[in-house]
Amino acid sequence: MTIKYYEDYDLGDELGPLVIQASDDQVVEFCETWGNKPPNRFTSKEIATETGVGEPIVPGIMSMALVAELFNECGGSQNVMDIDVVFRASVPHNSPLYISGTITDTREEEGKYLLECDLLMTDGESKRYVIGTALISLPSNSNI
Amino acid sequence: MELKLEYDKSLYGKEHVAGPFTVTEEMIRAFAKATGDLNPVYTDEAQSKALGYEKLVAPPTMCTMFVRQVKLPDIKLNFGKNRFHAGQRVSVRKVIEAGDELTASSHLKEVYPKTGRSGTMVFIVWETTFTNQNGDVVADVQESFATRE
Repeated sequence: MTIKYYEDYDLGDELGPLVIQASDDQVVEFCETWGNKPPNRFTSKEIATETGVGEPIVPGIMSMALVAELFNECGGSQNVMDIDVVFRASVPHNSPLYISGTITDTREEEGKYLLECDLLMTDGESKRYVIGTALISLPSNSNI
Repeated sequence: MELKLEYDKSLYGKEHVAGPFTVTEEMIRAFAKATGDLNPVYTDEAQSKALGYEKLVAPPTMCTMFVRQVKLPDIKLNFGKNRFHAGQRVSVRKVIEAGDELTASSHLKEVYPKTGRSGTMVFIVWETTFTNQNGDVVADVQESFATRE
């Protein structure tokens, strides 16, 4: 993974879009790892209908993990210090998810080089699935 | 008319603890695979070590999987029927690595109403602090659940 530096970014810079999908198999695998054994409302149409969701959806905690992947273009999502998301609409399986961000602040604080970012996951058009903000810490090339 | 919320306010200040949960390499790799995360730091220990970590690094939001292991009580809210996951926040204090033993401690943070175009919703916010085997706080997770009229 390419190392990215704090100085590589400026206020207003756009990140993404990262276009991904969560397949049925991925959601099943996620639920198994999570300990929420399938079938459940995230994996079964029948259970989803019974619980009023309609269609199986991507769990919120999985959607957050997908959004955090945007930072792999900034040297890796392990640099995330804070991520705060709001689930605006149910995230469907097997549909393109467009994840993007905008740098809203850059600052040095207590020896850390920080980027603040607005986050958005959409269907590529007008439907907003997830909105949020994040704070990431990057190395500075002034320290090289 | 002001909404008079009734719920079990005695829950404030009470901690609900679960764990310890062992973070394994298999768990980290499975989480990365299920989320389609191609960052090699989560699958290749050599890549994690190259960045200065001692072991395989866990994705920053992975600890959220353990939050549901905490048995949270019903707050007995006198509002709404259907409850849904409205939002989540993860504040990372220290990177979680394979082999870490995490203990989760959750408490009720706040309950508040919000009125918008679609009507009134009440938000229930739980906060969970994760501590590792050395007593270091590694993450704080806030989960919000909303309920509608």
